[in-house]
Amino acid sequence: MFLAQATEPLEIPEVAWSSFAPELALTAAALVLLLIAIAKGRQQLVAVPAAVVSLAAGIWLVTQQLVVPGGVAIALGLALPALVFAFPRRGSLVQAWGAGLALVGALVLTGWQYLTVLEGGGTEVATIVPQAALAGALANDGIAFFTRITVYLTGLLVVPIGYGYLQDRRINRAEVEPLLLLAVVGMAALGTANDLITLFVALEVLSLALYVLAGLARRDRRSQEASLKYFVLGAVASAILLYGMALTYVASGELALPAIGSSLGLVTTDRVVATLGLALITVGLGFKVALVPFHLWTPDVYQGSPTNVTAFMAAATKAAGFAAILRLYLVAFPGLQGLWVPVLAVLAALTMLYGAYLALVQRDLKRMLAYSSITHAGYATIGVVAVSDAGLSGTLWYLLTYAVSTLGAFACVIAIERTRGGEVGLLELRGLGRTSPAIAGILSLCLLSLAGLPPTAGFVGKLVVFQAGVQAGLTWLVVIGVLSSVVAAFFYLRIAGTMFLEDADPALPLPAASSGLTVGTAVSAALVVFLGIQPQLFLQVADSAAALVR
Amino acid sequence: MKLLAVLASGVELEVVETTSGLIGLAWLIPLVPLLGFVGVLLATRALADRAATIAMGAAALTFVLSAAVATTVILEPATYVRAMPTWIDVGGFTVTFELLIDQLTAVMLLVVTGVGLLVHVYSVGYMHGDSRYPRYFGYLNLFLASMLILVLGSNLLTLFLGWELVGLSSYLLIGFWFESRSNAAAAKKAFVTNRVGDVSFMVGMFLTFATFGTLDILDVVTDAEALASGTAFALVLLFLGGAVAKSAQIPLYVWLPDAMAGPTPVSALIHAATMVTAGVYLLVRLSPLLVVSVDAMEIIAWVGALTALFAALIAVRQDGIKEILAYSTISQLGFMFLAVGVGAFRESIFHLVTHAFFKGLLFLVAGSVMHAMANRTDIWQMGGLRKVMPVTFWTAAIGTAAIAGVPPLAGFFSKDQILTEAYFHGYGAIWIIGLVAAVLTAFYMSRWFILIFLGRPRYGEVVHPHESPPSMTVPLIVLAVLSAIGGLALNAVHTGPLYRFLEPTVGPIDQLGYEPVGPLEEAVLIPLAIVAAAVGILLAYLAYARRDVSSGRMSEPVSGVGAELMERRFFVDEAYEKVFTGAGGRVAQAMVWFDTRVIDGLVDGAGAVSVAIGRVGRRAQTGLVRSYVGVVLLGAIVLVGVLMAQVV
Amino acid sequence: MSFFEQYGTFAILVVLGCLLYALIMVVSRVMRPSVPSPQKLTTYECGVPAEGTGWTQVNIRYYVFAFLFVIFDVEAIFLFPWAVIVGGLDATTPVSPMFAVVAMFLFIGTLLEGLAYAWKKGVLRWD
Repeated sequence: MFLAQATEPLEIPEVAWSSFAPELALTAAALVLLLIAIAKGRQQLVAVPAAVVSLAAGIWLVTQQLVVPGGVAIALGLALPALVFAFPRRGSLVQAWGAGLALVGALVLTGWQYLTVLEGGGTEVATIVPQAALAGALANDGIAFFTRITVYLTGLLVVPIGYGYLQDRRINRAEVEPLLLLAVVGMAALGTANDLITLFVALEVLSLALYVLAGLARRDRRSQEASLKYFVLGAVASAILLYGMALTYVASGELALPAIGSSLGLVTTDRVVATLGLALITVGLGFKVALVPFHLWTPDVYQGSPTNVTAFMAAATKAAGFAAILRLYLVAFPGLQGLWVPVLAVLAALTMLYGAYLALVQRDLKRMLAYSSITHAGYATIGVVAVSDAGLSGTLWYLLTYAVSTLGAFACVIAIERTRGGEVGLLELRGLGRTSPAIAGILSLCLLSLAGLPPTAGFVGKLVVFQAGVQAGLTWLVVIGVLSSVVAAFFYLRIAGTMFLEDADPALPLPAASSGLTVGTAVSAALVVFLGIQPQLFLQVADSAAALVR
Repeated sequence: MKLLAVLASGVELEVVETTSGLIGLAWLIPLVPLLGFVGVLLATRALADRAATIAMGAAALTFVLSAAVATTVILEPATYVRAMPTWIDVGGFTVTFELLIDQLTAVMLLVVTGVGLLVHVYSVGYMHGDSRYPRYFGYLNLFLASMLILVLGSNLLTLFLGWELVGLSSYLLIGFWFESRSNAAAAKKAFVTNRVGDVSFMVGMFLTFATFGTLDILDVVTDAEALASGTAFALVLLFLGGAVAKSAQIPLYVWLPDAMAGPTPVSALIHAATMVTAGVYLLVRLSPLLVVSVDAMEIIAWVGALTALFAALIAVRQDGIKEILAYSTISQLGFMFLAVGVGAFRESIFHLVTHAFFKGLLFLVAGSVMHAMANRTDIWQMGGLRKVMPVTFWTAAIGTAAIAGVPPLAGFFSKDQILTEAYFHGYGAIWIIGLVAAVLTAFYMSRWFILIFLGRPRYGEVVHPHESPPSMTVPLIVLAVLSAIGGLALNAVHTGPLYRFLEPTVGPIDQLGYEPVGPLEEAVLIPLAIVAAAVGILLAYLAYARRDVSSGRMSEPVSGVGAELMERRFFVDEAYEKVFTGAGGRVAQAMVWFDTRVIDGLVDGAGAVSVAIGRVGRRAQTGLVRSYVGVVLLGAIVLVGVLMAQVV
Repeated sequence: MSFFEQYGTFAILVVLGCLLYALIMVVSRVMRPSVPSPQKLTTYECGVPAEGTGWTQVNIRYYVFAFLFVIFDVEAIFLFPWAVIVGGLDATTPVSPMFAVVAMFLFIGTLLEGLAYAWKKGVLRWD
């Protein structure tokens, strides 16, 4: 019987390379950068062949009418030897520039992908035509594109922000950038994954990379502790998630999310097994995005990890995790809506209140931002439980605004940490508004955005999500959200107040920004303002993102 | 393009959408001070000396623009809409930066930019020599821009944008002299109290969108008539919550007296003339919505009346030159809320305008006095300033008489018209409360005036008061003239020019079926108001001017438990402190305790149950990780239990 | 409920097993004479006497070796299905044989890069 099956001709799916072109480019970049790191001192030996291969591939692509991917390949192929010859003795600078350029390339490829699946255009509001690829394993739809944008943008900003910091702490090891790129690939894949296996693999790719990144500071006990805690707890969560996926497969007999969705909608489906699967998946994903009560790892891990890694984790992991949540719940579990909507709504309410209240009593800035990130997971969940197009695009948009705001805030923390070392408490911030107004100003701006005050990005983010919540009839949840944002405003404001309304301690050294940090911080701050005043560009994309592969 | 928006009551609004002419330039009105703010802050080092010039220029320019726009509205009355780019457009939720310019806007524009310009001029003298002189002017311009956004926004959300920005600039200006810790605390108190109101406002906006499908003010007021009264009641109360915080009404007034920590010109501009009236503006703006729910309006009226009385009682026994004015402001804002509540929308705006004149004037007078007295604030250490500061004295006299309700000064007309409307609309109790508050107003303002300017000097040899420089006295004189003739010129009789001008923009009250309280005619009511003012002034004269106050503090004429309560501000601040800070802190403490203790304890307890967790975790990991895993598993068990209970 | 019925059989088996175990222990406890001596209480009654506790630290290197071994072991498992299919490929299939070979070498190359990295980091040194 088994043998008879095996002899049947196997169906080999068409490989639509363009559907994961950005990830492909980044993976290749990560591998090449790692090779360069291995060939320390003889970097040309790696760079030149890699460049030749890349150029050849690029030219071939251009001849195949694929001008944009070809152009990206050629550009990266040319940039690589240029970097190696420009900085022969400074490996980490090659790594940083290489990673940054690869991420720019990935953003270009994302834009190219986006344009190819757009319909309409002109003055009309364009809509995305969702495309499934690799026999349904990937879905190139709105969630995928928006998650890519958020994640790549975050990666692109984290590289310069972290460069000087890693050097100061002497943890600028060669594997940082490749790991970062691989984590980014995992996150983007998580946003694209349209079946359970791809989803799980993507989740593990990003998690494994982050476990290592969290423990980057090998001499720092807290960093080690953070890494170990994250790993152990993450493994538990992954196991629970995997079990949930298995049960879902048992109940539906399908792995592809749309197929699960239609199968679970049938009356013949075993609802008990399906519900068990749903519950366990909720636990697993709730852990990844830090919903109460699965949030406990967050403060310890965020506080202990190197700050640039924390920034990356806070901004990008959340975006990727919510992309998976959105896709799973809206595509695979619409049949069980009556079950998960109230549960997630309660979790969201708990998360918002709990995070805000605990942030109130924190003294350490990184820990406070960790609790703040927990709170923000609650806000983003409002868009999920709204179960509407508005909620979907609202959550995606919210995550982008949160990402830029929190990146800016962490970048300022890095600037302060660089000269003062150790932890940054509230006391160390006194009078910063007078001694270094630029950093204090940008930190305040980002905190105001996190608090959701106009005219910053965070305000528009909250507004859109709350709006979707009210439209879905979840007024009670929105009221809780607004209340928690008032509590949250209190502690964000306390920081701003400490910086501007108190006297400085002259003994403390002034914060110092490296050039990369300056650029990263400035871009984040500019985005916070731009997305607040002129959010239309990205809101359109988010709005058209409501088209899913179902 | 001309459109007709018909209110269900039959009132037709002529809506003109235009991008040309003077209205077309309206977008420059908030932009000019915003550019001033950016310019001054960026040029702090290079152009520090010119900061005041830049800021003042911006204020003057925006005043001229406002005057031009207002003139257009006066000459060709209509509701103008200036199209602007879109702000947010997502899934049927559209918000533009469109500007709404109608009669109400015109009045507010003139008040805001007019008083704003005067305060800019005044500040040149007052803030001279301050170490953060440029920053001060930058903040002032930021405030002006924010307030103009608030006034011009055609959309509740753009209005809210301005609403938050004025809060932010107020925060920055209250804490401007942050060297003193109490100033910083005051700034924070103001901000946080206002955030409480914002919750209400925001929920109100969401409910508005859920009800009307739009946040455009014109659409909302046009469709308001068809609303179920329950929804309207909820909406009005939610917006009232926002207004109560911004306009310092019961129960959220506590921040305003503390806000006096800011520079005095700021108190004049923000905490007397403009920002605090934003709540009144909001309610009048939404008056077509208000009239759908008479019950909600009655609540507004009671909030206003009680605030007017309560704040006046407190003001009677305060000693700080600015504290008295702060409580007086709260009380006067109470009068405006009272007016809105009894359906006297136009009278409310009228009082807003006259109040901006005389209260702005009084604060600037206070600033002038403090300037002369080396920043002394206790009125018991002043006295006899009449001779040394003649201009300040005379302008103060006009201001005091105006607020006390002495005819024919501005405050008399506006306050009297509010009270008569309360009477004719059948709110007898509120009318009486208003009269009592009017007596108290006359009393405490006269006390303020007498103790500062009359009698013999009590300030000793240390300070040498002198008249302020012209940059300060000129704004005083301008405002004094306005306080003197403003009422007479604008709306001397009940159906004066301002009344007719504002008519198209406010909600119709005809269908509410108001009936007078009693048979009294206006000819009786007006003398009653004059008597009230006279009684207050006379009492103050007997109590303070006739007695010897030459040697420092004297005993107050009234004593006892009531007076003590008034002096201690009825212990409201202390009570709030206890309830909110205390309780809030305790909740947070409880959560921390839960986070650190209970969770560990739970897990240790659960360890006995779920043996597997303990076995795996015991030796390999630290206790904490074990606890975390335990909580995750416990959460998972609860979640699974809850979900499974629904399907099994 | 077929899913849980399968587990029901399993559960019955578990319960039966536990009962059997308990029964045997109880029976032996009841029937045997109890004459303890130190010799009898040692872990192993024959061979080398045990020293220390069971919780000793093992050099982390073993972990890395094991890890690398597993990675290449799993790679071999992937090679088998690939080898089955690659023979059936020709020009008519969506994927050409050449493509399949290149893809597999890329896969192996990626793993080898990891090995090279580990080597470079010095984790392969024995002493």
